[in-house]
Amino acid sequence: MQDQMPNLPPVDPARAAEPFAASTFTPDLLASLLADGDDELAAWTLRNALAEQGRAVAFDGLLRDAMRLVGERWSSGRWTVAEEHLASQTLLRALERIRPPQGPESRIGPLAVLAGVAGEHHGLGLACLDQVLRDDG
Amino acid sequence: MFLGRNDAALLALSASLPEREQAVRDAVAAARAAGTDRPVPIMLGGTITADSTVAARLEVDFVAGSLVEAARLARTVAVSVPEGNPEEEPAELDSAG
Repeated sequence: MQDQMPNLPPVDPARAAEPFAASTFTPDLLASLLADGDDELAAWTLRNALAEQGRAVAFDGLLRDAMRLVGERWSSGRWTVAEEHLASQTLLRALERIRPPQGPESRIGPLAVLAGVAGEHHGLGLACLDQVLRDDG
Repeated sequence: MFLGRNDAALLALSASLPEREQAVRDAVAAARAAGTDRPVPIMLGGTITADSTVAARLEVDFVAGSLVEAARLARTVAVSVPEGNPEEEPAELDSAG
């Protein structure tokens, strides 16, 4: 369907590795990429946001707004539950692609234990918090 | 228990629906009863925190409405954690297994 096609920003492939202004990457774009199952471009979108913003700010803004759009489009019937689930799975894969580097030094700081309560099915917030806290050491 | 065995400095719990209130209570009670060397601060996040009345009833130490807030609270906890004694002998590795 036409309204599911991500409206990609114009990018010169030869300059794709260069950072773009964060405003280029909208929640609508990210939501569409996620519902398309494109974790590579979703990660690229998030990576560009991270070039200008801290991880917590980017996740609270662009990522949260994108997932809110996914939820709205599912509840309004514009997207199917399959697309909603695909978006969540794609986001997990995209997050893996932008995970902060891990090494022995990342084990030095105080330990935070992250857990969903019994019966909880939503783990995206914890996956994001994991990266934010790792970034902070 | 995991929290004590790993000397956790913070427990971050996540819950989405208000129906998870009892599950949050159970998790908090289990963490408080874990018998850790020092009390482990408990932070709650997730959409359950959008209802401030629910969040207020749950006996957690912090409620985080965003990742920015959660990171700030975690930093507060981290600076209050006593640093390890460099003179202390490292714990022996468990040779079992």
